[in-house]
Amino acid sequence: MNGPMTRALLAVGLALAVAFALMCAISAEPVQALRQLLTGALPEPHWSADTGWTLRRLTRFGAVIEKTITLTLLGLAVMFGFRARQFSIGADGQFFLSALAAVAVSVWLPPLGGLELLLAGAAAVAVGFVWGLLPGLLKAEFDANEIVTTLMLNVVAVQAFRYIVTHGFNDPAAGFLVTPTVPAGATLAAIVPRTQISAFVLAVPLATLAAAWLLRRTTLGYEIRVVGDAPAFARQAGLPVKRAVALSMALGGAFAGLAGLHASNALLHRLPADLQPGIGFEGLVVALLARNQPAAVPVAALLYAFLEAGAQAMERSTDVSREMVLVIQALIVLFVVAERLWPAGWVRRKAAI
Amino acid sequence: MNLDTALWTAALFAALLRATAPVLLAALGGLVSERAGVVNVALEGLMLIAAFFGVMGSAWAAAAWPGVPVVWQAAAGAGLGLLAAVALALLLGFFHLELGADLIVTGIGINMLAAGLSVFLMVLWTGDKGSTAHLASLALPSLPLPGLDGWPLLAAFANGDSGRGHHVLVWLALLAVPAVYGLLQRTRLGLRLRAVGEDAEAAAAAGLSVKRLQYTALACSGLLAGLGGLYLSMGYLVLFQADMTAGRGFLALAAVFLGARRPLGTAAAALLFGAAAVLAAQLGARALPSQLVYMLPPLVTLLALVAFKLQARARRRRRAAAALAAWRTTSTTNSA
Amino acid sequence: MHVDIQSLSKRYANGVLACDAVSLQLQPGEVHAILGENGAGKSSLMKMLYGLVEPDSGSIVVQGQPRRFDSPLDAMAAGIGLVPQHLQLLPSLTVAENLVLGAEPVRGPLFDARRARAAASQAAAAHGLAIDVDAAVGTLSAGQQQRVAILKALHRGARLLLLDEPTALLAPAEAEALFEHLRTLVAGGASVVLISHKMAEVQQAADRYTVLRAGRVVGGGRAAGLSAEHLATLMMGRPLAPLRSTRVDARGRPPLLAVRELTLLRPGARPDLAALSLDVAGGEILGIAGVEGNGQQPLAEVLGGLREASSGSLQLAGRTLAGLSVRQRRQAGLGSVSEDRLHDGIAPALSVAENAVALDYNRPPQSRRGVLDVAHIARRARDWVARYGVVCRDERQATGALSGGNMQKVVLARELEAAPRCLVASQPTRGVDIGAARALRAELLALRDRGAAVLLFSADLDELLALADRIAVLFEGRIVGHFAADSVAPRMLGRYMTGSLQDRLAQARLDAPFTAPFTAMEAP
Repeated sequence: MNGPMTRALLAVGLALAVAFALMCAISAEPVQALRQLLTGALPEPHWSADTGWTLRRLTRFGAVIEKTITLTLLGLAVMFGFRARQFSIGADGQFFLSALAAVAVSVWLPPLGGLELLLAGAAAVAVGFVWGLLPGLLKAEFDANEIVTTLMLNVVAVQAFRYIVTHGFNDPAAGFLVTPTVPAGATLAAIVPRTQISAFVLAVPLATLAAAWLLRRTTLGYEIRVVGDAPAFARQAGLPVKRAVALSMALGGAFAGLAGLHASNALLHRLPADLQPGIGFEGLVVALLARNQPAAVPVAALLYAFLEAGAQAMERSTDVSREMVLVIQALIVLFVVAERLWPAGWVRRKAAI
Repeated sequence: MNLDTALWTAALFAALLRATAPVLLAALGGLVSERAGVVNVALEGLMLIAAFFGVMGSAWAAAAWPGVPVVWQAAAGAGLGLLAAVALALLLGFFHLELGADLIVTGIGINMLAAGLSVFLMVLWTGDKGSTAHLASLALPSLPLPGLDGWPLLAAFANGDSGRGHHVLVWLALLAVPAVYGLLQRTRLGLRLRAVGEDAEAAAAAGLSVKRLQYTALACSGLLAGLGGLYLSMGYLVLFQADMTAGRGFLALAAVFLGARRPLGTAAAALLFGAAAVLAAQLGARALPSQLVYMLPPLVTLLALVAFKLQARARRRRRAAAALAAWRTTSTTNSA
Repeated sequence: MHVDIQSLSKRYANGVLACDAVSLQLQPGEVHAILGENGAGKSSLMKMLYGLVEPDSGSIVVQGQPRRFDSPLDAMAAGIGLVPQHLQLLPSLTVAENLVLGAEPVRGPLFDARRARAAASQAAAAHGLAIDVDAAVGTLSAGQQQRVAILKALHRGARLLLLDEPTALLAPAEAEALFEHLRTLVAGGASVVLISHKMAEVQQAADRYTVLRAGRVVGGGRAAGLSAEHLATLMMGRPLAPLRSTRVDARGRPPLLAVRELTLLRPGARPDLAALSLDVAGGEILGIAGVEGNGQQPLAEVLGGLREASSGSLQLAGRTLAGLSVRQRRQAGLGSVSEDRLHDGIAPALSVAENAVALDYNRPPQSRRGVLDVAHIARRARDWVARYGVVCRDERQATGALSGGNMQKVVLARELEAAPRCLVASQPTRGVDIGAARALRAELLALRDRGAAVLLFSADLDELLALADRIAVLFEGRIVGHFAADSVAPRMLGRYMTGSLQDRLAQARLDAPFTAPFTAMEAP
């Protein structure tokens, strides 16, 4: 965790410094605000004579962990495309459609003793894979700019989602447009009290290991890395460049599908028609921060979610609103990719992007 | 056609212009920077920041100079909004051209910065998180064309359904199409921008300053996208809402590619997107659900991208075949 | 225009001494040809004259005034214009627009297209160029584009024109027209410097010439009366005692690699390859001699499957290669060492082991059912590193961190260990230190002795003479000479490489006769 991560940490530090300067300009209590930002998401151990040691503010910390799970999966999703030098930003659309597929399968299947969850997961992954494969094929066969195609497919996916929920797949008993609720047998119960952290938290290490294994230990992962590092060499050596490009985006879609499964079967249990897109871009930031290294993705995701929750705490106890964290996130992105900002001796060459 | 149908058509036409104007302005901005070799994915953010500062600026101007006519107060706000958009566009340029940051990622970062800053500052300056509805911000005026009383049909189209005229930024959007065409094809700056976008090395060899020209292109795109954003908060609506651009900046980028990177094509693509929005609103849930209509522009864009590539391939194949035929005749002539 | 080049020297950051106290004088009203092989120092000299590179020592005196060029703009201001080999014109802009770019006439903010057109028409007419100034440059032929590039330099006030390999893309008729044009230009008092390696250019166009070799001036004088023999001697120098191996005479054997009438057309310009035929038998090395830019890279790319030929046939061990993908060709036994290893020979961020496995990663025992056997890959890579003497920390080091020579060792190890039936090697020892180069050459010979066919492209005549069994000379996309390697003198090869001698019937087929001095024809 050095070299590429060094630069990420420095970028975070610099962004926080700029934010602190901003806080000093506008707030009466900048130091308190910064402290809350950095530590506000932590649970607080509390001693009292009658209950002994308890952890307070656990719900807030639980939300951080839940967000970390989602962002890890989406960060890994975006990473696959980036490692093949493809700017695929279709995680949003993949997320929406796969979450919907997971709910649909969970709702339609009869109780199968827990198997529904597995099948819903398979459906989510499959849908995400296909929705990632589409722009991959368009790029491989027609050299269609993947930024434009993934953006367009995001719109199509979100609109399709809205259409399906509005015109048929909804719960008439609810007071608003929302899908039917996932039956309890297909959900994951919370394992930490007062939070919604379910066994899905295991997805963080497992998905990370899977992604690292895919990249480093499989022939497909090898092809993706060679194509991303030296496309001309890949062509000259006879590697299947087009297939690698398409599959890199499809694989990303599969991981986004897991994020969709988490959202539908662990977090929300039902999807409102007006679910807001944008989570895919957060995954992109996480991938950037992790410099496209699988092992760093969960760390970056945790940092991101942590700052976000800290910002909420900051807003509650000081006069700085939580939107400050959006500015910080933007600055982090800008500082991480500014190559000439950092003296060359400090940080090693960038890995990919 | 009788007057009723004509009036209905005119109303539809006005709605079309309202829906198209912001995307068209931003798309033309994207076109200018794309032709100069710096594809600008931050159009969304530039629109947003202009929308925000336009609202804030006009409210401040109204409070600071109450005696001045309203239209000047609004113009002051608009000026501030445009300044903000251009500044952000130049920041994009700075990170890419001076600090060597990847252009696409920096664009995404600028989008995030605009989204975050606009909401943060809104909370800071107005206390509201959702919108500036409580703020007395101003709208830019609408401009009716005078002297059309004798031609009710023409008046209906030129001055909108209520005779108030189209919004000044709608007029600007329409004028921007020939203006951008003129800029690119008829001015020295346009010639240089096109040269830089085609082959930066050759342009440098001819003595052009590539960096300076790319900064200029980005500033232009900031200006145009800013105008598009201003329309949203000072015309279409008269307030600022978080994330009020709702993806229009990205649609604008798609319009540039759909329009084959030409002013007229980009305008046609933007019109297509606007028409889809109007159609969706009109049809409601009656004939075709709005979501399906909203899906049409992206699908059309995808099909167009594929069609362009197939066309280019066919052209290349034709040329290669012609070259081969020519070669065969000359070599048989030679050996004869 | 008088330009006095006084003792210019330039050593690049990587230690290469490109120019060593080069002095020469350019007179007004004359065409001066600067000749030399690749690496002789021609392009470095030109870059110094045009302000692209700063000389370490020496001076440039223009019209009696010593000048310093910090950028091309300074050179242009001093009246020096450059027409590079890769013409820097904008294809989508018109002739007129290209001509005035950078100094456009304006009417307010508007580009004054009328005045630009008028200026362009005038300039074209003044130089006898019949061209539509409103045509997009991309639609013009290579010869016309070059004339536009020359016009552009003149329009900016150039009194000294530097032309880099001007006939690279021109058909013979176009080249003649160019020389005619140059003669007219200098008659008006301008000076022209032709940078070249071709005899024809000296004979037909130049008034005086200078020959560079290894960064030094080795000869010069009046072009009239220069013999091709003498020029070739100056350019080639005397070869070192080569690493002589037993020559193989493969004539009579069936070809392993058979190329027939291979043609690669380039729209609007001279073809890259023109009805080229060659054979390589198993157990021999066919060397392709020629200065770069005469079709070597296109030929290597077509053989490798990276480009499609316009017409002609390619066969490996009797199997047609056309239509086969790169991977299929490699599986059929074709190996390839590319010219630019940094660009398409290695993946710099990946480890040595990962680079080594690029050709067979998808087969057991390197991988099984899609999963790589990382331990085996690492072991095999360590074995190769030891056997080929690759200097690296270990097999996990990023390949981009290795020196050029060691990178090439990795590339060659990978290709040789794949046991190709035919290896196409392009400039295999370029940029490699002497010791490593020797080792690499020994490997190539060993490959040949194991029965493989080797097609060797090399700009290094010494290397060709040491390694090849037969030598074919490539000039302007054609084979112009075919020799047994032990019966041709370097000087003679030089004459074919410069185009002063061309055997019009030469092909490098196994059954084709060798070019004899008496069957060769002098170039017109």
